[in-house]
Amino acid sequence: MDATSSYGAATFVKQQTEAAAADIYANATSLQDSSSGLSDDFMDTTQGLGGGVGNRVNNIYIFLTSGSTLTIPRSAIFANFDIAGGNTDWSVSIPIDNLAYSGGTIAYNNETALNVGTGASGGSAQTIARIPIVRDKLMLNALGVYKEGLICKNGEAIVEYYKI
Amino acid sequence: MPTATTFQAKGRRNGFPFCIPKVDLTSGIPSSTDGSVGPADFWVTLGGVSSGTASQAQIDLSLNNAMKLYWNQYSITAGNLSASSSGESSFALSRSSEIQANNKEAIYQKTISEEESDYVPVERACDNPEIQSRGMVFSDRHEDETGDSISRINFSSVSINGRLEIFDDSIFRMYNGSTDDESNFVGYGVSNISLAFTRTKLRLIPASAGSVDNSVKVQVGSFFRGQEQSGIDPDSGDEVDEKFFNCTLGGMDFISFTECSARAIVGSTASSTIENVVSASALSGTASSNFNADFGSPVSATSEGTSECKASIAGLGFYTY
Repeated sequence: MDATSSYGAATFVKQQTEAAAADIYANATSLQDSSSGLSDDFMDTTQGLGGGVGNRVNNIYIFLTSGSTLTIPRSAIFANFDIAGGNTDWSVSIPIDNLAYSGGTIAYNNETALNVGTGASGGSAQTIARIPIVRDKLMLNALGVYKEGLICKNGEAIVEYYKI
Repeated sequence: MPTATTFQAKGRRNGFPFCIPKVDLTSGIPSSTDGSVGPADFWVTLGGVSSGTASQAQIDLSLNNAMKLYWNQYSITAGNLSASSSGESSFALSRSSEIQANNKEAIYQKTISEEESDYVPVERACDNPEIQSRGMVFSDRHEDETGDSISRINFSSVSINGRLEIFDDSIFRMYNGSTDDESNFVGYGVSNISLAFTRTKLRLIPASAGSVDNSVKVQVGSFFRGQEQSGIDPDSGDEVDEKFFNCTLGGMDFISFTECSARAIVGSTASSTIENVVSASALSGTASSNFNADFGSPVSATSEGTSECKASIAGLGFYTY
């Protein structure tokens, strides 16, 4: 092969066969299932779970009202996450006592309610605040820095972790 | 109580739509009785703390109650709310006025374009610039109906108010010491949550035939500076009973400052009897006067009069969901 032929072979891009007008129309108008944005296999990978690429934040950091900082590593968050096992949703569940992080064990599960209970005292006092991580098999933009704060629900206080 | 629409508000991430000012209970509190400024003489947080330091549970309870007051208070209800006075003399016309509004409920309302309507919780998330005023107010007044020039100064009036100020300015983080040291934080409180006031005035013609002035004022808040006083006030000459009490209203701890005042006067040349009775208690008070006089010769003339004021605060109403 002469030089010219070699260059031609190296730069040859296979052209797509022109599709029929009917195919183009079908692709353009078909609805995409939101849960199929990424394959289950890809979601289970480091890249699929939003980490491991470049210098992206790989943890959740929470500035607590006590003044200290709570660090939740990505590895802990996703340790038991298993899409194939049926985990289409995933959350960080932070134990709450007296309207603040209690210092107890943080859980990771498929519960989705952002809070359990309201207020500081009584039988309905808040016990859990959640940070959503995955919803409908899709990774949310969840890793990063949060603050612990209070919001109002029907006149009662709820601890909420909001991203800053 | 009415049912409110469910809502959620981020506010300032502190449970309220505004930043909460701090108050140092050991200095800078204006007196309710003499105008001086200094430490609070009587205080209790909405979590029940009245001295020393607070537990986290007590602070949290105060926050719950402060939020309940801000977001969910619907009304304030009076107990006894009445005023009356009457008098007659052989000199001139009889005078009387009377008003009763026992168990009256003042509902938290807003005014927009001169129209009043209930100020529901979800509206409290934002400061609507169209709102001209808001508050819980009931007041009524009755004047003597003789119809001459002194009828208007013969009156009985009653009122009950909730939230004397814009609430943004009357809810506080209370510190038992410097506000720069968070370890002094003892909980949330309010400077003015309610006021009940009744007054009656009677004046015969001539004034020496007899006059009375009775009033009762009941204030409720989380902290007060002031001195208690009973007996004849050296400045006014009124019989007074002014006291502070720990009390519970709407299931929350408060301080009640009750001021009762009574005075009856008849001409100095008269042979007369005068009785003034005042009694202050937690969230309520009474004041009453009686007089009768015989002015003797050269014209046989007599006069007599009686009066009474009562004021009490019975409870707070809240929205439910």
